[in-house]
Amino acid sequence: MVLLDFQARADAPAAPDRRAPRLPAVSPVDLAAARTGDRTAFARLVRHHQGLVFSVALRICGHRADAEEVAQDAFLQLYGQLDAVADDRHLRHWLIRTVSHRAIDRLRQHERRPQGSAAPLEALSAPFVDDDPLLARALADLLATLAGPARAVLVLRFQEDLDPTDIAALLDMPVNTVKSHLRRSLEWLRTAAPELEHGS
Amino acid sequence: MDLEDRLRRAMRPVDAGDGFTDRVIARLDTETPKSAVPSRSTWARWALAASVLLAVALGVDAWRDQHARQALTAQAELRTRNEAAGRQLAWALDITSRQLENVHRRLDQDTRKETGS
Repeated sequence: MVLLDFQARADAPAAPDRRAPRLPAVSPVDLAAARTGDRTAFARLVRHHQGLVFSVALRICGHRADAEEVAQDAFLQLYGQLDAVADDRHLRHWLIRTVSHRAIDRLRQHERRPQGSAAPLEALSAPFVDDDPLLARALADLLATLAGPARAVLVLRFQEDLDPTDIAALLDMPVNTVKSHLRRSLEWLRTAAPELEHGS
Repeated sequence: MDLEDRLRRAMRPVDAGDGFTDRVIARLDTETPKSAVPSRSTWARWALAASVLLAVALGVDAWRDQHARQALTAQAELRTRNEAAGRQLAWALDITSRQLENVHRRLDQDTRKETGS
């Protein structure tokens, strides 16, 4: 249903998008060629989106090896479902949705294992790119306390700059739950590291 | 800098590492047959389903048509046989009637001769 929703959005008249695209769109020719089984064209699609997919997976899983596998799985699933993807915008939404759900599932599998719930802080702090190690550490501490869905909300909000409505649709959760996750996470950060708000 | 802006900066996309695409394609080669292409498009599946339904509908219609034609033929044959039987019966009754009339006439003549003598 969400696929259809995205399809409908893609077909709708273009609304002004306040989020500037970080990458140029994938060529429709590549998408069409990949649908016919052209693996060179599919490789170009993967190369184009791998940063996005891997980053989402890494920040939700908190572990590079898991993130690599989850991201690869998402692309393999994409290969079998290219017919369901209308265009580059739809492809981007499809990938974010798929990799988010897969990463949350991977995190749940780890949480069910007796040897420990969250990934070590060293692993969690690695995904963050900041000159300030304090922020990286505070983020790592925060993420270590969050369950998968809450991590995904934070990542989609601040990595992909998606609004709560889009995040709710992607993660199949009510908008109010998304807003609640965001509010609680930001409150926690402000409490745990108040200097972040006013630091340089 | 605002906290949310710092979060956005801290969560910039990171590199997937060298060879990520090659590893995906390698898994594709091992986990998917080379001849395999992505699944049929939706319209093709619908077209196939519609064709099957149409073929089934046409088959059922043809079967019904043939069945009805056979029933009509059987009815016509029965009607023809009944009419022939009716004609034969009428003919037989006619012959019987004439024979009886002859017998009656002869008896009448014999009676008249006996009374006259």
